[in-house]
Amino acid sequence: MNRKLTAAALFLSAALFSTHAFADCDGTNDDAKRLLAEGKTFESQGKKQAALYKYEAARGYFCEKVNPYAPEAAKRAAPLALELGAAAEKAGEYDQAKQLYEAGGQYAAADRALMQKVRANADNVGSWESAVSHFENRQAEWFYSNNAEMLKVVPGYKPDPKYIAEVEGMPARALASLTKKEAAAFNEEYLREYVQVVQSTPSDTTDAAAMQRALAAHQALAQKWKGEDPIKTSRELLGQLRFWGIRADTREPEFAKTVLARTSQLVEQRASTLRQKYSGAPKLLEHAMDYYHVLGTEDSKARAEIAATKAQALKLGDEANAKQRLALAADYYSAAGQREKAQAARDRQQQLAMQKMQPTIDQARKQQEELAKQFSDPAKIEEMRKQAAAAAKAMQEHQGSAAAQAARKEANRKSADDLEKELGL
Amino acid sequence: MLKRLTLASALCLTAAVTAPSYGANLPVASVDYSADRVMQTEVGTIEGKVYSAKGKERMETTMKGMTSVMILRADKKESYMLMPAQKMYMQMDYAKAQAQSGAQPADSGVEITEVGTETIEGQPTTKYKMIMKDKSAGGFMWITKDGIVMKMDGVVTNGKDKSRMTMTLRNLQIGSQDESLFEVPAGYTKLPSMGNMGGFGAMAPGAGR
Repeated sequence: MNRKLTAAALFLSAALFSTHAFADCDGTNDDAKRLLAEGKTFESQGKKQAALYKYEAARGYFCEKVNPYAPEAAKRAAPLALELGAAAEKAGEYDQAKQLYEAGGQYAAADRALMQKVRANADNVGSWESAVSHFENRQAEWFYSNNAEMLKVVPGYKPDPKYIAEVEGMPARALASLTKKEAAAFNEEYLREYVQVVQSTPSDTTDAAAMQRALAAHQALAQKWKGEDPIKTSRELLGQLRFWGIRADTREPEFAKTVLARTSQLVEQRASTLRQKYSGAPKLLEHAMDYYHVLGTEDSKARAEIAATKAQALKLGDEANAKQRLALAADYYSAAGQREKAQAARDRQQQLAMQKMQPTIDQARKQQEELAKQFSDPAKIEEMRKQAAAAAKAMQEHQGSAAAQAARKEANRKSADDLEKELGL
Repeated sequence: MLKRLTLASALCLTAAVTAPSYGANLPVASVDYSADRVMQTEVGTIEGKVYSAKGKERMETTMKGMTSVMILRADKKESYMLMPAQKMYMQMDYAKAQAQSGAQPADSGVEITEVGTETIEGQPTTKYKMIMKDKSAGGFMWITKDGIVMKMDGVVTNGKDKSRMTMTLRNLQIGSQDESLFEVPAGYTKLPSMGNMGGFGAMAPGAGR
């Protein structure tokens, strides 16, 4: 299965990325003539980008040995590319800027746009790969033969050695940057606080006050850490580092070896710390296993460590279960992959909670029955109706007539004015 | 608006309950007592009784023979509204009951100053002036050396409306109060209260560990 996919991917890559040096010709000179004319029309209409791409196509690789339309197409493309590329670059659209510069033979500007994109994603191995590939192509003989017409219009292009040196230094810088970021992410203050919150969550779910306190503690932790999970971040950074190790292997085998060794070392360190110091939270044991997963399922040492972590979770689950900390036990069992045991612990907890709540439930039911009895008694209802009418009448009598009410209100208002003055309001 | 209502509520409550609700600058009732309470508002005169013991209050209001009772148990953080005619009661959330009764929040935004001494209903008192810090409302309070609020006179505004409210205690009797006054009488049916459904857990991440 994997082999088939790999082969398919290779074919697809070949189809997508082969350059025109090896491709079939794009058409005849008549096609080039037509493309040039279309470009001019677009340009006269102010459709500069469409014109640029038509000119680029018109100077392309045609079946005849000489393309008489290429010089004019190249000449027209160059200024358009400079103008449009600069606008895109200014807007931070570096991919588009590079494409526009390339279309008009502004290769130095295209390199600059590429480097801006690369710098913004310097920790990404894919970014490094594309830069390496770009400058390899720039130094290939076919690049100069395929773009001869364009290089006549924009002469003197050579890739900047500074860019090449910068790209060559990317792997080492990425290693330093990723390890630094990872070290910052693996925050033991967070881990200590997280374990404390988990351990202080009550076993008795019917204890509303304790549950409220636990909820507040969870919320405070989430607020302090802005809802992020620093350990997940650390793991993702190590995953990124491992990608460097795998993908840099072809071009930089020694570097790749160093990176993979460093990744394994960090994974081991992080997972061990979680298992030894922070096993009080089941989720952190799951994190420990996820660290080992970073090394890949084929890593036999990682597989053994995952099995050992599951055994540890199972043991802690049994201990929590024995102490009647059933939800905690259930989480440990889940981490250990013991689904049946986890469910049994949750069921037991539910059962205990219901037992504890039963007197309250019974009392509420009794009250409900008493009320239902009262409200189903016609004599009682009639008595209550009379009481309500009497209350309304009493209120009305107390307040007097509408005129009396208005007079009283007015007098009260004047009196309020007097008091306001006395108070100096 | 909120401040005005708070002060209005605070003034009302003063008529009914002891000083502890009024914050750190006022004396606190240090004795048990009972008294007749007369309130004069724009809707007329309302008479009632007040019973007070440490951490407990009972306020009875009678209007043309119809009585309603509120019991506040600060000691237990509980409160009850009794409906004697129906022999029913409702347990209320203490904090909500306090708010409904006008209990003053910790930071009330009220400036309190001592302005002199006067005798009210035969009781020597100290007179205090209370002004909302935004000058939107205010009033006077007369408090005995034992911290009993003998009289309160205040003006409150609510939008364009403005009203004055006065409360006076009469027939003050200092002495211990019957504990049963602060309990729900036997035979009363409890009306189900809404909310307070906590205790089932599962609302917190990792709840019930």
